[in-house]
Amino acid sequence: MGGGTEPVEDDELLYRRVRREHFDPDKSHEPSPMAFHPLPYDTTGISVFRARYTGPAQVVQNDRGKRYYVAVLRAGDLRAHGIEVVAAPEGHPPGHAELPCLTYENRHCDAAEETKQLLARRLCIEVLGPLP
Amino acid sequence: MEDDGFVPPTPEVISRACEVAMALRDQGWVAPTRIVPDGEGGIAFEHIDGDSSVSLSIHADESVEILTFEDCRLSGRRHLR
Repeated sequence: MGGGTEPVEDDELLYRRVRREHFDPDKSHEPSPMAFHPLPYDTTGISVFRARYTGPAQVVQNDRGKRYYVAVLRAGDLRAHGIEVVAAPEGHPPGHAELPCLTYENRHCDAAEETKQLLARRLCIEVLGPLP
Repeated sequence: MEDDGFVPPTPEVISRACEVAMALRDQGWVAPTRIVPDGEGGIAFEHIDGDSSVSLSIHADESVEILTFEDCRLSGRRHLR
């Protein structure tokens, strides 16, 4: 492994932290598309974490005692739908990557709205948690 | 709810959402599948029906927008005010 700087391979699993407000297993097995909505700090793309570097517990780790779900995605599935995944290591947790097509700047454009639907409704393999 | 830059719905947006919900109820709309915050001070009603879905967003500026999707493709989008 190259420390997380090497390109994300198609068979890699990715984790996306999901707020509890955005997933209710009693109402739907799918997370809300809003779980993939970029916020102001998502200037270069929303965050995901590479499973080869980071476990679900690390993705949700926080010092506020908050619990989260973790959506599991596969890089090749995203690319098959035109959603690129790029490595963007930035410290802890390791294995940070981004989806450059979803940024705060373009968050309301038609393509971004469709991408959020795809991620939540078609490309999410499973949702883990809540954790920890 | 506020953390990591995630802004919860404002009281004004919640009030507006209640108005919209009552108006939709009076027009015979079915209850949404879920109601979710957008992280920017807004809120969205999401309705899922098989491959179709509708998202009615009350943005932080209290504007209202409806987006409809068929098989994850945007099939309609309009602002209500």
